[in-house]
Amino acid sequence: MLIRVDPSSEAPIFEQLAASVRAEVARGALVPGDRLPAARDLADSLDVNIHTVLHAYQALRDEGLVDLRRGRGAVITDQAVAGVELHGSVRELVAEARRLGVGAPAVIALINEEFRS
Amino acid sequence: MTHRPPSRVLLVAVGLPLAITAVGIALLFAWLSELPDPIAVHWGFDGPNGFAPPSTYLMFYSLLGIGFVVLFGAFAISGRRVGPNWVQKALASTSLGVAVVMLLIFVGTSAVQRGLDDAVDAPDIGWLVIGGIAAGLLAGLAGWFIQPKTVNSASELAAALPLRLAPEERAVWLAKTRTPAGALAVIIFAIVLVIGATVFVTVQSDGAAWFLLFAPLVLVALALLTTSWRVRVDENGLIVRSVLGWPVYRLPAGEIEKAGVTEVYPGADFGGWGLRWAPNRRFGIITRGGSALEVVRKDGRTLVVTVDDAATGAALLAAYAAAPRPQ
Repeated sequence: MLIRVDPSSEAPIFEQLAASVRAEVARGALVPGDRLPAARDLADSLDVNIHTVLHAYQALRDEGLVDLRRGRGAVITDQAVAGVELHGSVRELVAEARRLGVGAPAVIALINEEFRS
Repeated sequence: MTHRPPSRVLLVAVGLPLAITAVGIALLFAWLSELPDPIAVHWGFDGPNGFAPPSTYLMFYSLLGIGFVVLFGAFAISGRRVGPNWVQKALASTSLGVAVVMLLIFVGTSAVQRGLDDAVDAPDIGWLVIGGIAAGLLAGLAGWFIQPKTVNSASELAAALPLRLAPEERAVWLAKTRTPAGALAVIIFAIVLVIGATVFVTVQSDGAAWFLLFAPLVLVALALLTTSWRVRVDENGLIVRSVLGWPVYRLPAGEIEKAGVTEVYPGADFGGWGLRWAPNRRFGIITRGGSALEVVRKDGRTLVVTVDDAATGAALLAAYAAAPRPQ
C-alpha cells in the first residue's frame, strides 16, 4: 500500500492519510482483511504525530472502511469494497445531476428520501 | 510466450535419469532371490552394521531415484524462456549425476552380496562409494556439455518511471509477501521426509547418529525465518524484513542504479524458492512465481523480491533513488 502526505498541502494530514487508504482500497491494492500498519509505525515512517494517524484511522472507522480491534489494529472491512463498487454508480449519478443542473444538497436529500422509503 | 524446453535438456534432466533408475530397479528386482535377507544397507569401518530386507532396499532406491528426478527435473524444465539458462543446465546435470551415483551405489552394494548366505560377510564398499561419486560427477559434467549452449535469460531490466512527488511530500510503500499454501505444503513435506530419513538412520545406527536430528531442526528454523516477508520502500530506500524480525535486507536509496518490475519463474530463474542466489550476482527473496520488484545496485548486484503491486514500489523507489542526497 502506498501512503502519501504533503505537509504543505491545504488538506489536514489525517485527511490525506485517510485519502491514501481510500485510494488503495479503490484500486484494489488493499482488500478486506488486510491490516493497516500500527499507528506508531506509520507515524514514524512518515514523520507525523501518532495522534494524527489515530485520527485518520478513527475517521476511516467512522466511514466503515476499517474495523479497529484491540491487538489487531485497523483491518479493512468488507463494506470498504462495497463502497468501491458503488463508486461507479455515484459517478454516474453526479454526472447526471450536473447535466440536469441539480445541486449536491438536492441530490443528497433525494438519496436520504430513498433510504427512508 | 512459452517455449518447450530443448529436447537435450529434457533428455539430461528427465529421460536419462529415469532410464538409469529403471535399469537399477530392474537389476535389484531380478537379484531379490539371490540376496541374503536381511542384506547389508550400511557400512561402518568394521564392516556392515546396518541391515534391512532387500525389498525395502529396492523400494527405498525406487522412491529416492524417482523423487530426485521429479525434484531436479521439474525445476530444470520449468522455464519458459528460449534456451536453457545456467541454473536450468546445472539442475539438469545434477539430476543425471545423482541418478548415476545412486545406480552405482545401490546396484553395487547389492551386487557384492549376491549369493551370500549372511550379509555380515558383505565386503567393504568404500571403493564403490568413491567410484560411484566420481562417476556421478563425470556424468553431471557430460550432461552439461550435452545440453545446448547457455543462454543468459536475465533480460535488461526496464526501469520504472519515478513516482512524481511534490517537493514536501513524503510517501511510504508497504507490502507483504507470503509463500503460497502449495509451496508451503512441498516444504513441509520435504521436512517430514528429512525427519523420516534422519530417524531411520539414527535407528539403523543404534543411536550413534543422533546428532543428525539437528538437520530437520535447522530446516524448520530456516522455513520459519524465510517464508514470509515485509517489504517497505521509503526515503531511505528498500527494506525487506522477515516477519520474525531476521533476516533483514537493506538497500539504501543512494546505492540504487534502477528499480523495476520483472516476471520470475522460481525454478528456472533461481533454482527454487526462498533465499536464492543466481548467476550474474543476482540474489532473490522468492516466495512465489510471478511479478517481482527488481533493484539493480550501482555496484552491479541485483536484488529480486516477489511481491504484489511491485510496480508501485518500483516507482517510489525510483523516485527516492533519483532524489538528491542530503550532504
